[in-house]
Amino acid sequence: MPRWRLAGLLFAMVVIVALPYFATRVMSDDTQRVNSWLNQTSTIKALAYNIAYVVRDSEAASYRILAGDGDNAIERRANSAKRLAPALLDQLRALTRDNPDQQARIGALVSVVNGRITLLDHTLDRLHQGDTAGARQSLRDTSDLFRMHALIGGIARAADRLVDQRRREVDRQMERSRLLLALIALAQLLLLIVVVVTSERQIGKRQLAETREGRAVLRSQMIVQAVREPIALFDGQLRSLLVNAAFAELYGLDPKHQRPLSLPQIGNGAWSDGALLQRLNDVLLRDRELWDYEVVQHTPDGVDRHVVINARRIQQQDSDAQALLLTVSDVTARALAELRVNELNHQLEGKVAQITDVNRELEAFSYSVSHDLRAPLRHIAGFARKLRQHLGERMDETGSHYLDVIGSSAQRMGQLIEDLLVFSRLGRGALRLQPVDMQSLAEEARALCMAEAPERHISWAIAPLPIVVGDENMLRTVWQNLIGNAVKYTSQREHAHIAVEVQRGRNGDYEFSVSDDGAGFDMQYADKLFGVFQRMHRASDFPGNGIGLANVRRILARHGGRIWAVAEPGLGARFHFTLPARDLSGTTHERLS
Amino acid sequence: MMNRHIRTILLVEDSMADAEMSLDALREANLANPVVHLQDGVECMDWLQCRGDWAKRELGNPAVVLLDIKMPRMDGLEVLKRMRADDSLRRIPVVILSSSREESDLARSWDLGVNAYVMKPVDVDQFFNAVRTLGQFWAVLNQAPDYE
Repeated sequence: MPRWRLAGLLFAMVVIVALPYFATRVMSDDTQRVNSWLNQTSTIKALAYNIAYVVRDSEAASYRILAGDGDNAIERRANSAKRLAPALLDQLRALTRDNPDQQARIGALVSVVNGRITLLDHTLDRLHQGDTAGARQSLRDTSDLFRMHALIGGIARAADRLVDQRRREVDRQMERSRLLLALIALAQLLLLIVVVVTSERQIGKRQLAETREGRAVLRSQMIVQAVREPIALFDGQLRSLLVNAAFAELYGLDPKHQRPLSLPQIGNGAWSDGALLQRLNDVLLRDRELWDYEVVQHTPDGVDRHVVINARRIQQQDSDAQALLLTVSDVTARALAELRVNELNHQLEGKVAQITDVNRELEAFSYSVSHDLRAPLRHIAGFARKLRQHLGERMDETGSHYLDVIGSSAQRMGQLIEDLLVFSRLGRGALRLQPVDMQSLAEEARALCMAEAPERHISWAIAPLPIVVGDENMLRTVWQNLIGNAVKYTSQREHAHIAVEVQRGRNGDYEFSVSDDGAGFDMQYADKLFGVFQRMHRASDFPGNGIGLANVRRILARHGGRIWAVAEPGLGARFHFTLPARDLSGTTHERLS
Repeated sequence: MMNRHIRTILLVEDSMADAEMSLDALREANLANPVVHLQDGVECMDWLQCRGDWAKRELGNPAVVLLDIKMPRMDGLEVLKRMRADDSLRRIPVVILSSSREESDLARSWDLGVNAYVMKPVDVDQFFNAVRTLGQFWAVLNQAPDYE
């Protein structure tokens, strides 16, 4: 409840309790005041009458004495006025000190009373002297000269008037107080209404919230039930509190009768795995989350399922007890796929091993070729030479010719073996990728060719060439072969033209070309161009082994490029080759369309 | 110089044809040094360590060992390795003379501390030139430390 509302309620309570208290207090004070005023007025009147009585009693006593009826008691009565009146007058004066009108009247009364007492004294004195007539005259003078009755009545009436006046004031005040009380009652009523309405509204809101919460709970339960992933909630003793439809289906539970079941009993022992139960207890007791725990369960439908289990501890909704929220993902399909992938990988590894074996055999073969085949060749040539030395003068021209052929054939075969070994090495060795400046490689190849044939007249047109990523030594071989060929096959021209160009394809590939205006070849045989030891021309016209372009094609294939040629006999040839765009990591950039 | 011992040239070669050609070439070089032909690594080690058939040979290390790689029983690389591991043999110059130009053979030879690696040329004139030059260089021009 907000603080201001509490403060408001407290304030209302204070107002409801305190206001009537103060109002009642004021009213009782008023009543008390009226009572004290009435008392005072009665006292004043009583005093006034008492004074009148005392004076008259003394005068009556004086008459008795005059009538000769005096004794000591009468004598004392005649003197009592003189003895008692001053004190009574003082009392009266004290009581009416707050009222100037009454004081004036009392002043007059005092002088009248004193006058009468003085005449009484005269009367008594004359009586003692025996002057009866003088005494009687004095007594008569008393009532003639000092009239007391009207004064006493005035004082009494004034006191009564004052009381009336004050009573009216008090009555008015009482009227106001009553009005105030009525107003307070009204305010109390209003406050009470406010309090009641407010609390009613609060209760209504709470009820609404509870209804909403209830609906939300219902909705989330429906969601839990509808989710295809098996979800279940267990209490601290691993007894089921809630299982959703998917869970019930997976573990063969009856979705209609959901009695609490102990987890190890669920699914015909699918959950009786000790390690898993230990983990789940850890989740419950130590709040260790179970994260993607993979396990194989034999479910009641007779299938071994690979499931991934996630569990965490949560607070139960309606108590402090902890509950275990368990989700199960059936990943059997994925696991089987993984199994299959592993199997395929295994097979692939087998194949790779086979290929490695084959490569090793190839390597052994070429080693053997390089070593074992060369030795006999060397011997053939060597012993032909020794034979020539041995025969010396006995050797005729024909014999010498035969020995020449034997020697040169051995030499040629050695070269062929050497070429084959180079070709095989190009296929086997690892590519050492690095940035390669094609411009400098082409220039280097040209310089090399021109150094070997300084007498040739060749017009060169080498376009600016890019830097590519590749194996520098291999690409050097490419340029030396292509430019070397261009130089070689233009050797019968007096003035040859050789051009090197490059253009970039849409997908970033480079396409280089080397063109010449040399012998060319018949496109009919173009398919033989890049074969090992395949030649388009006679060795007597253009020397060569027919290995160069085979090497070039192998190198370009290893770089992910390709090579082709366009030619016409007698007009020249143009060789094109491509290199894919690639970065230093060796991955080629395949543009996805 | 007169009292200086004339050192032997060791030719270790299993191929009789190659050996014959090499011996011819060394003869053409007109060297004063005696040439001993051994047919495999085991014989070579026996000779160097004066064992077996060579237990009674005149003491002294050769001027150079011309060593083939591919041989029966013990190959040239193994001989080289053992020589370099033996304190009395490790300073002897060793030249590998092989048909192989395989990168792995080259690398291993140099790693083991060979003094030169020469591929036997297929061309016969080049072959004779090569062996002749080797003999002249290692037997005449090169200076090796004296015997201890």
